[in-house]
Amino acid sequence: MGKYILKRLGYGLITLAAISVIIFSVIHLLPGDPIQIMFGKNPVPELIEIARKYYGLDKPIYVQYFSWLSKVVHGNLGYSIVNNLPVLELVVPRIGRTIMLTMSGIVLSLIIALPTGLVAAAKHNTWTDLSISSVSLVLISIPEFWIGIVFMMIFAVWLAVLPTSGYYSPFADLGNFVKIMILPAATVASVQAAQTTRMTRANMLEVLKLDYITLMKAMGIRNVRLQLVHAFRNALIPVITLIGMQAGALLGGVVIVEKVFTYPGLGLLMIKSLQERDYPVVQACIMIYAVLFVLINIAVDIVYSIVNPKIRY
Amino acid sequence: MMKTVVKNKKLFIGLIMLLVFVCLGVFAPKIAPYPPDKTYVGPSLNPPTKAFWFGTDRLGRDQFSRVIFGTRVSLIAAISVTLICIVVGIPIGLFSGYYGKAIDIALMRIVDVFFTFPWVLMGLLVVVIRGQGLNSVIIALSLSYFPQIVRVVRGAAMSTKEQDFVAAAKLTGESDFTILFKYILPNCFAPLIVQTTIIMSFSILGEAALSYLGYGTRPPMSSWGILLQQATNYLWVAKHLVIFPGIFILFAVLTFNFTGDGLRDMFDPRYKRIYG
Amino acid sequence: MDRNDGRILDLKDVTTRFRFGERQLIAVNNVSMHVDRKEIVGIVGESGCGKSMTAFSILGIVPHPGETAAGQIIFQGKSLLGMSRKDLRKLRGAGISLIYQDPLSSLNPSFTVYWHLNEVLRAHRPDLSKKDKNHLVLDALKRVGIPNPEDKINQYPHQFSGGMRQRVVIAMALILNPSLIIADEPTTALDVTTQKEIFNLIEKLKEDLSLSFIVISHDLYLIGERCDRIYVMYSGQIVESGNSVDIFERPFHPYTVGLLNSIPKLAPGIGELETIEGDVQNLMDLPKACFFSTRCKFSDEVCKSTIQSLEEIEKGRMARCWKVKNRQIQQTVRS
Repeated sequence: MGKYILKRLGYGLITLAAISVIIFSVIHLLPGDPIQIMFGKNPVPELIEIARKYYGLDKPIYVQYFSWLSKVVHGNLGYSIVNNLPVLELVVPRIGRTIMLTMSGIVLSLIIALPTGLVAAAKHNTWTDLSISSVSLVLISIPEFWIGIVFMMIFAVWLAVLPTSGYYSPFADLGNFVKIMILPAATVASVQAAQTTRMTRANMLEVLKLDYITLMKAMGIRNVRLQLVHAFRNALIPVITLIGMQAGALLGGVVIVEKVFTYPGLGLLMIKSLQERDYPVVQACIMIYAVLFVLINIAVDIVYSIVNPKIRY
Repeated sequence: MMKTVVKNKKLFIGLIMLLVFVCLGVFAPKIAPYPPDKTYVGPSLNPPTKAFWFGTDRLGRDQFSRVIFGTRVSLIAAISVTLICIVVGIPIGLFSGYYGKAIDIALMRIVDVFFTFPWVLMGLLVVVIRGQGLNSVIIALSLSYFPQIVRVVRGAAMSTKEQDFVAAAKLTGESDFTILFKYILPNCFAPLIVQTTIIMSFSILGEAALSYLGYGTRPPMSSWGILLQQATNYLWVAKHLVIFPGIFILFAVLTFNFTGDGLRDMFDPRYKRIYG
Repeated sequence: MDRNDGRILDLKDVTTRFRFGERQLIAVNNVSMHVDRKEIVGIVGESGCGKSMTAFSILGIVPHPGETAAGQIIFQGKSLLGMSRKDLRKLRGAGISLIYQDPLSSLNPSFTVYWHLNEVLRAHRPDLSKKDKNHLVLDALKRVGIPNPEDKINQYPHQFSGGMRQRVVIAMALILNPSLIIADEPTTALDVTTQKEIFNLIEKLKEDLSLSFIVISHDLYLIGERCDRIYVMYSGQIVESGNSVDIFERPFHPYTVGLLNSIPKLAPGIGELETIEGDVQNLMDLPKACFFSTRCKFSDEVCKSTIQSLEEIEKGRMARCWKVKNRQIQQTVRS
């Protein structure tokens, strides 16, 4: 088991390395002198000097890459043009907030989706099943941000029970923190939950037809136990794979949700910096997202290996 | 053939919706009462009335016309992305699936990076390089979704290449190129068509989201995403602005979902096993 | 469980059907059969002829939208069809058990061997202590001939061979000392050597534990070799029944003859194998005639227009063919 984790971590590092190359090259894909482009609107000589030193543009490209990489690993992410701060300072407080949002989204979606999928499969061919399936279908056919806007419209504007934006630290003000988190987390969770529900339902229906379930039924196992214990474990396996595959889309969704609710996380920073042409920040944000993305994949793989004994033995 | 289509309810409904959708896009100028970017044809921020079915926005533009014209953007996005994905994805999938081994592993590793990379971030990257605009959105979405085509084609290629008629073709000395495109590709047709509808529905959602974020079409051009972005500024006073573009997106996506589902059912009929 | 001498299971005119709107599919058509103590009874027939569905009907697990609409099923003096679902469930696994065809798919891949046996115990004897359960599990595994069960119980199905897996399934079936075990194609997915082993095990268990078996198969040779009595099924009906030795030496129904003639082992090196022409009857639109008449070389207008009923031809031998009853056909298997 430990060996498997190490293997996965190793593979994750390789992926990260590949992504870092891509990110690094993006700057160099911009036409013209990258520094010129970065500072096009704000040619502040001191900052230009810092940038030149940071990117070391006079040296051969692989040297540039490795020196950039070592800087990144040591925490030097460059300097924000717009905000006059080291990028690291801008970014660090927001990482936690984005992770918080992502995690609550995933957890919330699982809490909703797994039972719903189970119920839909158990009540196959009834109105319950039909309505659950229809609602899921609709949810995956609408853009996530629209769900967010509608939530905002209903709860913040119309009913006025929740705030539309702002942020409170959970350590300082837990009550308000929860209020702030509900709508964004629910939005992130909604599409994810719909997809997971559909998959859970479909898998359960498939598994319930299998021989080993029939055999246990013939041995007198109760129906409820058959579904919850015998079938569910096996139906769950592809669902976990699905979540892994959707890690990318999920992270992207978090970015959008942060914009909708003006949630001060990495995504919002990224969007703002892009508009302001603050490229060092953009680059750093993408790098961090890449790390998060690889970490989610590793976590999913590990959970998968726990649930599926065939991998372990 | 027609009979099978009509019998399959999902497909039938999907195709009808598709027809409506395409007509709205193509005949937009005839259907919309006002040009979408003409300002102050009506009072500012009015809810739906008989004169203005979907209401008006801050600059007095008719929302109904704007939404109808938004159909065009979505159609263009969906078709362009799909075409690019097909053109790029099919050759890669065929090569990877047919030749296998080292080529397959190498190609699939690269393709996987694109597959799992978040499409929103892809949009961001492309916009960093190319700047804002519908074309950037199309490129970003294509980069994100072409791996789906690659997978489908690769899978079909891998299973088809084992078959006898391929071996026969090899023996009679047909060139690899011919084999790939004349024999193997036709077998990918069914799953490919289904995957196309999936990509189309993703493209509509993706274009809307990227435009919402400000990476896509610029106002006053009207894509549904832009309309929604503008609507969020006026949530308190003009709730109607949010609803209609969203409903249209929903119907557009459902169209492709139904069509895709219906096609899948048609190509892969599952006999209801009586004996469980 | 009590073991009264004599009849363990008795089916009288059991009919199981599936309703689809206006149409219905009759999977088990007026089937009557019985199993006595320490008997191995075989049910043989082509795929789709209703043999598995008969087993499901006995156990009460006919899948939706099927229902056992008519007849009686008496198990050790109790009527199964009238029983409450709760009582019927208590009987499953404890009074009557099932062994399934493909050991590869009969065991849940996510759980260990111990878990499988424990589940059966848990469902029927929640009162047992952990120690007692362990004892029963190991005992059952030893009884089916699995060496060193202590090492095996924490392993997963995919770590075993097919034969071992089937033994685990058999262990599950007998752990609560049932009176009857239904084996649905128990060796179809296994190689010939393992087949022999499994059947030897079945016979041993029959003797040691006074068990009765119903063996369902499409392999008539196997059934003939290992079963005491045979029921031949076709399109949901029983077309012939009797002692297995008699049926092999003097088959009555044309279908049975056809089956025997198509077994390579019985007619080595003599000309071509016979096949039975035509397709299996569609169970949805049953004709008011002998179901086999479309494929029978003896069939005539009468056969094609009258429903045939199961009649006693000799003592202990039944057949569903008026021509056989009237001694109009005398057949032997080519030898």
